[in-house]
Amino acid sequence: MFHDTTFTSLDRLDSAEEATAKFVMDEDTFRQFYDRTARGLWAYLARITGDRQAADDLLQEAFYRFLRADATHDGETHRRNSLYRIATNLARDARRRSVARPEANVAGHDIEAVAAGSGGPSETSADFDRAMARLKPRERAILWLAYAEGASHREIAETLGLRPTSLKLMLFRARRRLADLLRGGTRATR
Amino acid sequence: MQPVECEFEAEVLAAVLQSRWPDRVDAELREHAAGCAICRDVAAIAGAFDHAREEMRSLAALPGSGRVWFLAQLRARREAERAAARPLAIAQILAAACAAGLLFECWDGLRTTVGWLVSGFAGMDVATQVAALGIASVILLLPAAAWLAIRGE
Repeated sequence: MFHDTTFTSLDRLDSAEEATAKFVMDEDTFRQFYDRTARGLWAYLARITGDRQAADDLLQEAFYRFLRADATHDGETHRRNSLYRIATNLARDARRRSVARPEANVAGHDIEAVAAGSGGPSETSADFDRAMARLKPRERAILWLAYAEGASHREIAETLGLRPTSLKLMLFRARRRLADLLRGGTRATR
Repeated sequence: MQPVECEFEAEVLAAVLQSRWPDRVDAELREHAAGCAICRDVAAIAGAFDHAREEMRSLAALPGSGRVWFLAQLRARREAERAAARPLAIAQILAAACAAGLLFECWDGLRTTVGWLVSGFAGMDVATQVAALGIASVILLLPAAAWLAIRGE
Protein backbone atom coordinates (compact mmCIF):
# COMPACT_ATOMS: atom_id res chain seq x y z
CA MET A 1 0.00 0.00 0.00
CA PHE A 2 2.81 2.39 0.84
CA HIS A 3 4.85 1.30 -2.19
CA ASP A 4 8.44 2.42 -1.93
CA THR A 5 7.69 6.05 -1.15
CA THR A 6 8.58 7.70 2.13
CA PHE A 7 7.64 10.94 3.83
CA THR A 8 10.72 12.56 2.36
CA SER A 9 9.85 11.60 -1.19
CA LEU A 10 8.19 14.97 -1.74
CA ASP A 11 11.49 16.71 -1.10
CA ARG A 12 13.31 14.51 -3.58
CA LEU A 13 10.95 15.19 -6.48
CA ASP A 14 12.79 18.32 -7.51
CA SER A 15 13.14 17.60 -11.17
CA ALA A 16 10.89 16.17 -13.83
CA GLU A 17 13.74 13.86 -14.80
CA GLU A 18 13.36 12.01 -11.52
CA ALA A 19 9.65 11.54 -12.09
CA THR A 20 10.29 10.13 -15.56
CA ALA A 21 13.13 7.87 -14.46
CA LYS A 22 10.77 4.92 -14.72
CA PHE A 23 9.77 5.63 -18.33
CA VAL A 24 10.58 2.74 -20.65
CA MET A 25 12.72 4.94 -22.91
CA ASP A 26 14.59 8.23 -22.96
CA GLU A 27 13.34 11.37 -24.68
CA ASP A 28 15.21 10.99 -27.97
CA THR A 29 14.18 7.37 -28.42
CA PHE A 30 10.60 8.24 -27.53
CA ARG A 31 10.42 11.11 -29.99
CA GLN A 32 11.70 8.95 -32.82
CA PHE A 33 9.30 6.15 -31.89
CA TYR A 34 6.40 8.60 -31.68
CA ASP A 35 7.19 10.10 -35.07
CA ARG A 36 7.20 6.62 -36.61
CA THR A 37 4.03 5.31 -34.99
CA ALA A 38 1.68 8.14 -33.97
CA ARG A 39 0.05 8.75 -37.35
CA GLY A 40 -0.73 5.08 -37.92
CA LEU A 41 -1.96 4.65 -34.35
CA TRP A 42 -4.27 7.66 -34.65
CA ALA A 43 -5.74 6.26 -37.87
CA TYR A 44 -6.27 2.90 -36.13
CA LEU A 45 -7.95 4.50 -33.11
CA ALA A 46 -10.12 6.73 -35.27
CA ARG A 47 -11.23 3.69 -37.25
CA ILE A 48 -12.02 1.39 -34.34
CA THR A 49 -13.74 4.06 -32.24
CA GLY A 50 -15.33 5.86 -35.19
CA ASP A 51 -14.60 9.13 -33.39
CA ARG A 52 -11.77 11.59 -34.11
CA GLN A 53 -11.97 13.35 -30.75
CA ALA A 54 -11.80 10.04 -28.93
CA ALA A 55 -8.82 9.08 -31.10
CA ASP A 56 -6.99 12.30 -30.10
CA ASP A 57 -7.52 11.61 -26.39
CA LEU A 58 -6.76 7.91 -26.56
CA LEU A 59 -3.59 8.50 -28.53
CA GLN A 60 -2.01 10.62 -25.79
CA GLU A 61 -3.22 8.26 -23.07
CA ALA A 62 -1.84 5.27 -24.96
CA PHE A 63 1.61 6.83 -25.29
CA TYR A 64 1.63 7.83 -21.63
CA ARG A 65 0.70 4.34 -20.45
CA PHE A 66 3.22 2.86 -22.83
CA LEU A 67 5.94 5.04 -21.29
CA ARG A 68 4.92 4.07 -17.75
CA ALA A 69 4.47 0.37 -18.47
CA ASP A 70 6.85 -1.85 -16.55
CA ALA A 71 7.94 -3.73 -19.66
CA THR A 72 10.98 -4.60 -21.70
CA HIS A 73 10.75 -4.82 -25.47
CA ASP A 74 12.69 -7.11 -27.76
CA GLY A 75 12.64 -4.72 -30.67
CA GLU A 76 10.67 -2.21 -32.69
CA THR A 77 7.91 -4.66 -33.63
CA HIS A 78 7.39 -5.81 -30.06
CA ARG A 79 7.37 -2.22 -28.88
CA ARG A 80 4.84 -1.26 -31.52
CA ASN A 81 2.62 -4.26 -30.70
CA SER A 82 2.65 -3.27 -27.02
CA LEU A 83 1.58 0.25 -27.91
CA TYR A 84 -1.25 -0.99 -30.12
CA ARG A 85 -2.36 -3.41 -27.42
CA ILE A 86 -2.55 -0.60 -24.86
CA ALA A 87 -4.46 1.54 -27.35
CA THR A 88 -6.87 -1.30 -28.13
CA ASN A 89 -7.63 -1.83 -24.44
CA LEU A 90 -8.17 1.89 -23.92
CA ALA A 91 -10.55 2.03 -26.87
CA ARG A 92 -12.46 -0.96 -25.50
CA ASP A 93 -12.75 0.66 -22.07
CA ALA A 94 -13.93 3.91 -23.63
CA ARG A 95 -16.57 2.01 -25.57
CA ARG A 96 -17.78 0.28 -22.40
CA ARG A 97 -17.99 3.62 -20.61
CA SER A 98 -19.96 5.10 -23.48
CA VAL A 99 -22.38 2.18 -23.33
CA ALA A 100 -22.82 2.82 -19.61
CA ARG A 101 -23.19 6.58 -20.24
CA PRO A 102 -24.79 7.01 -23.67
CA GLU A 103 -24.60 10.81 -23.43
CA ALA A 104 -20.79 10.53 -23.60
CA ASN A 105 -21.12 9.43 -27.25
CA VAL A 106 -17.57 8.18 -27.43
CA ALA A 107 -18.47 5.61 -30.03
CA GLY A 108 -20.39 7.99 -32.26
CA HIS A 109 -19.38 7.38 -35.83
CA ASP A 110 -18.08 10.59 -37.31
CA ILE A 111 -15.71 9.04 -39.80
CA GLU A 112 -18.04 9.87 -42.67
CA ALA A 113 -18.00 13.43 -41.41
CA VAL A 114 -14.21 13.21 -41.34
CA ALA A 115 -14.13 12.36 -44.99
CA ALA A 116 -16.68 15.05 -45.79
CA GLY A 117 -14.58 17.63 -44.00
CA SER A 118 -11.53 16.74 -46.03
CA GLY A 119 -12.89 18.04 -49.29
CA GLY A 120 -15.58 15.45 -49.96
CA PRO A 121 -15.32 11.70 -49.95
CA SER A 122 -15.29 9.72 -53.10
CA GLU A 123 -18.23 7.37 -53.50
CA THR A 124 -15.93 4.40 -52.88
CA SER A 125 -14.59 5.98 -49.71
CA ALA A 126 -18.07 6.74 -48.38
CA ASP A 127 -19.18 3.18 -49.14
CA PHE A 128 -16.15 1.87 -47.30
CA ASP A 129 -16.84 4.12 -44.29
CA ARG A 130 -20.45 2.98 -44.11
CA ALA A 131 -19.48 -0.68 -44.46
CA MET A 132 -16.82 -0.40 -41.75
CA ALA A 133 -19.29 1.32 -39.43
CA ARG A 134 -21.55 -1.71 -39.69
CA LEU A 135 -18.88 -4.11 -38.49
CA LYS A 136 -18.24 -4.93 -34.84
CA PRO A 137 -15.38 -2.98 -33.24
CA ARG A 138 -13.25 -6.12 -33.01
CA GLU A 139 -13.86 -6.92 -36.67
CA ARG A 140 -12.82 -3.39 -37.60
CA ALA A 141 -9.66 -3.75 -35.52
CA ILE A 142 -8.73 -7.11 -37.04
CA LEU A 143 -9.25 -5.95 -40.60
CA TRP A 144 -7.49 -2.62 -40.10
CA LEU A 145 -4.45 -4.25 -38.55
CA ALA A 146 -4.31 -6.90 -41.26
CA TYR A 147 -4.91 -4.78 -44.36
CA ALA A 148 -4.04 -1.19 -43.41
CA GLU A 149 -1.14 -1.90 -41.06
CA GLY A 150 0.04 -5.10 -42.74
CA ALA A 151 0.33 -6.90 -39.40
CA SER A 152 0.88 -10.67 -39.31
CA HIS A 153 -1.64 -13.03 -37.71
CA ARG A 154 0.63 -13.42 -34.69
CA GLU A 155 0.94 -9.66 -34.27
CA ILE A 156 -2.80 -9.11 -34.54
CA ALA A 157 -3.49 -11.88 -32.06
CA GLU A 158 -0.96 -10.38 -29.64
CA THR A 159 -2.40 -6.89 -30.03
CA LEU A 160 -6.00 -7.93 -29.54
CA GLY A 161 -5.36 -10.60 -26.93
CA LEU A 162 -6.65 -13.44 -29.11
CA ARG A 163 -5.39 -16.94 -29.90
CA PRO A 164 -3.80 -17.09 -33.36
CA THR A 165 -5.93 -20.11 -34.25
CA SER A 166 -9.15 -18.22 -33.41
CA LEU A 167 -7.92 -15.19 -35.26
CA LYS A 168 -7.79 -16.92 -38.65
CA LEU A 169 -11.48 -17.74 -38.48
CA MET A 170 -12.40 -14.31 -37.17
CA LEU A 171 -10.39 -12.63 -39.92
CA PHE A 172 -12.06 -14.82 -42.52
CA ARG A 173 -15.54 -13.94 -41.27
CA ALA A 174 -14.85 -10.23 -40.91
CA ARG A 175 -13.33 -10.08 -44.39
CA ARG A 176 -16.28 -11.96 -45.87
CA ARG A 177 -18.74 -9.64 -44.14
CA LEU A 178 -16.99 -6.47 -45.30
CA ALA A 179 -16.57 -7.74 -48.84
CA ASP A 180 -20.29 -8.54 -48.96
CA LEU A 181 -21.15 -5.10 -47.63
CA LEU A 182 -18.92 -3.45 -50.23
CA ARG A 183 -20.51 -5.50 -52.98
CA GLY A 184 -23.92 -4.52 -51.63
CA GLY A 185 -24.66 -8.16 -50.80
CA THR A 186 -27.40 -9.40 -48.55
CA ARG A 187 -25.41 -12.01 -46.63
CA ALA A 188 -23.60 -9.36 -44.58
CA THR A 189 -26.81 -7.64 -43.51
CA ARG A 190 -28.10 -10.69 -41.70
CA MET B 1 -14.89 -27.88 -43.43
CA GLN B 2 -14.69 -24.59 -45.32
CA PRO B 3 -11.10 -23.27 -45.67
CA VAL B 4 -10.39 -19.93 -44.01
CA GLU B 5 -7.03 -19.29 -45.69
CA CYS B 6 -5.70 -19.52 -49.23
CA GLU B 7 -2.08 -19.85 -50.23
CA PHE B 8 -2.56 -17.22 -52.96
CA GLU B 9 -4.17 -14.47 -50.89
CA ALA B 10 -0.82 -12.80 -50.18
CA GLU B 11 -0.16 -12.64 -53.91
CA VAL B 12 -3.56 -11.14 -54.59
CA LEU B 13 -3.07 -8.62 -51.79
CA ALA B 14 0.34 -7.59 -53.13
CA ALA B 15 -1.07 -7.20 -56.64
CA VAL B 16 -3.89 -4.95 -55.38
CA LEU B 17 -1.54 -2.80 -53.27
CA GLN B 18 0.86 -2.43 -56.21
CA SER B 19 -2.06 -1.48 -58.50
CA ARG B 20 -1.40 -4.52 -60.70
CA TRP B 21 -4.80 -6.08 -60.03
CA PRO B 22 -6.52 -7.38 -62.16
CA ASP B 23 -4.97 -6.48 -65.51
CA ARG B 24 -1.26 -6.87 -64.81
CA VAL B 25 -1.17 -10.20 -63.00
CA ASP B 26 -0.67 -13.75 -64.29
CA ALA B 27 -3.75 -15.15 -65.96
CA GLU B 28 -3.35 -18.16 -63.70
CA LEU B 29 -3.76 -16.04 -60.57
CA ARG B 30 -6.76 -14.26 -62.09
CA GLU B 31 -8.40 -17.59 -62.89
CA HIS B 32 -7.70 -18.87 -59.40
CA ALA B 33 -9.23 -15.76 -57.81
CA ALA B 34 -12.33 -16.06 -59.96
CA GLY B 35 -13.04 -19.40 -58.36
CA CYS B 36 -11.70 -18.70 -54.84
CA ALA B 37 -13.99 -16.87 -52.44
CA ILE B 38 -11.12 -15.92 -50.14
CA CYS B 39 -9.04 -14.30 -52.87
CA ARG B 40 -12.12 -12.56 -54.25
CA ASP B 41 -12.79 -11.06 -50.82
CA VAL B 42 -9.18 -9.97 -50.45
CA ALA B 43 -9.29 -8.29 -53.85
CA ALA B 44 -12.55 -6.58 -52.92
CA ILE B 45 -11.35 -5.02 -49.68
CA ALA B 46 -7.59 -4.50 -50.01
CA GLY B 47 -7.75 -1.49 -52.30
CA ALA B 48 -10.33 0.21 -50.07
CA PHE B 49 -8.09 -0.25 -47.02
CA ASP B 50 -5.10 1.13 -48.85
CA HIS B 51 -7.07 4.22 -49.84
CA ALA B 52 -8.62 4.62 -46.36
CA ARG B 53 -5.22 4.33 -44.66
CA GLU B 54 -3.76 7.15 -46.73
CA GLU B 55 -6.86 9.28 -46.18
CA MET B 56 -6.90 8.76 -42.42
CA ARG B 57 -3.18 9.38 -42.03
CA SER B 58 -3.48 12.65 -43.89
CA LEU B 59 -6.30 13.75 -41.56
CA ALA B 60 -4.41 13.16 -38.33
CA ALA B 61 -3.66 16.45 -36.53
CA LEU B 62 -1.10 15.21 -34.04
CA PRO B 63 0.63 17.05 -31.22
CA GLY B 64 4.40 17.18 -31.58
CA SER B 65 6.50 14.49 -29.95
CA GLY B 66 8.17 17.09 -27.69
CA ARG B 67 4.82 18.25 -26.36
CA VAL B 68 3.66 14.70 -25.69
CA TRP B 69 6.91 13.98 -23.84
CA PHE B 70 6.60 17.18 -21.78
CA LEU B 71 3.00 16.45 -20.80
CA ALA B 72 3.93 12.88 -19.87
CA GLN B 73 6.70 14.24 -17.63
CA LEU B 74 4.29 16.62 -15.89
CA ARG B 75 1.73 13.91 -15.36
CA ALA B 76 4.30 11.44 -14.05
CA ARG B 77 5.54 14.04 -11.60
CA ARG B 78 2.03 14.84 -10.34
CA GLU B 79 1.30 11.14 -9.89
CA ALA B 80 4.56 10.62 -8.01
CA GLU B 81 3.75 13.54 -5.71
CA ARG B 82 0.29 12.16 -5.02
CA ALA B 83 1.75 8.73 -4.26
CA ALA B 84 4.30 10.26 -1.90
CA ALA B 85 1.64 12.29 -0.05
CA ARG B 86 -0.66 9.32 0.46
CA PRO B 87 1.14 7.84 3.54
CA LEU B 88 1.04 11.29 5.20
CA ALA B 89 -2.73 11.54 4.74
CA ILE B 90 -3.16 8.01 6.12
CA ALA B 91 -1.04 8.89 9.19
CA GLN B 92 -3.17 11.99 9.82
CA ILE B 93 -6.38 9.99 9.64
CA LEU B 94 -4.96 7.38 12.05
CA ALA B 95 -3.86 10.10 14.50
CA ALA B 96 -7.32 11.70 14.44
CA ALA B 97 -8.95 8.30 15.03
CA CYS B 98 -6.60 7.60 18.00
CA ALA B 99 -7.38 10.99 19.51
CA ALA B 100 -11.13 10.39 19.19
CA GLY B 101 -10.76 6.93 20.77
CA LEU B 102 -8.72 8.30 23.65
CA LEU B 103 -11.29 11.03 24.28
CA PHE B 104 -14.09 8.45 24.32
CA GLU B 105 -12.22 6.17 26.76
CA CYS B 106 -11.26 8.96 29.16
CA TRP B 107 -14.57 10.81 29.03
CA ASP B 108 -15.66 10.07 32.66
CA GLY B 109 -12.29 11.01 34.11
CA LEU B 110 -12.20 14.13 31.99
CA ARG B 111 -15.63 15.24 33.26
CA THR B 112 -14.53 14.78 36.89
CA THR B 113 -11.34 16.76 36.31
CA VAL B 114 -13.20 19.58 34.53
CA GLY B 115 -15.77 19.69 37.38
CA TRP B 116 -12.96 19.86 39.95
CA LEU B 117 -11.23 22.68 38.01
CA VAL B 118 -14.47 24.68 37.67
CA SER B 119 -15.33 24.37 41.37
CA GLY B 120 -11.73 25.27 42.29
CA PHE B 121 -11.83 28.26 39.95
CA ALA B 122 -15.13 29.46 41.48
CA GLY B 123 -13.58 29.36 44.95
CA MET B 124 -10.65 31.67 43.98
CA ASP B 125 -10.53 35.43 44.51
CA VAL B 126 -10.66 37.67 41.39
CA ALA B 127 -6.90 38.33 41.16
CA THR B 128 -6.10 34.60 41.27
CA GLN B 129 -8.82 33.91 38.67
CA VAL B 130 -7.23 36.43 36.26
CA ALA B 131 -3.79 34.88 36.80
CA ALA B 132 -5.19 31.36 36.25
CA LEU B 133 -6.93 32.46 33.03
CA GLY B 134 -3.67 33.99 31.79
CA ILE B 135 -1.70 30.80 32.45
CA ALA B 136 -4.42 28.69 30.78
CA SER B 137 -4.39 30.96 27.72
CA VAL B 138 -0.61 30.65 27.36
CA ILE B 139 -0.79 26.86 27.72
CA LEU B 140 -3.51 26.64 25.04
CA LEU B 141 -2.16 29.22 22.61
CA LEU B 142 1.51 28.23 22.68
CA PRO B 143 1.10 25.01 20.62
CA ALA B 144 -1.16 26.84 18.15
CA ALA B 145 1.43 29.60 17.72
CA ALA B 146 4.20 27.01 17.26
CA TRP B 147 2.12 25.19 14.65
CA LEU B 148 1.45 28.40 12.73
CA ALA B 149 5.14 29.32 12.80
CA ILE B 150 6.19 25.90 11.47
CA ARG B 151 3.48 25.97 8.81
CA GLY B 152 4.67 29.38 7.60
CA GLU B 153 8.22 28.18 6.92
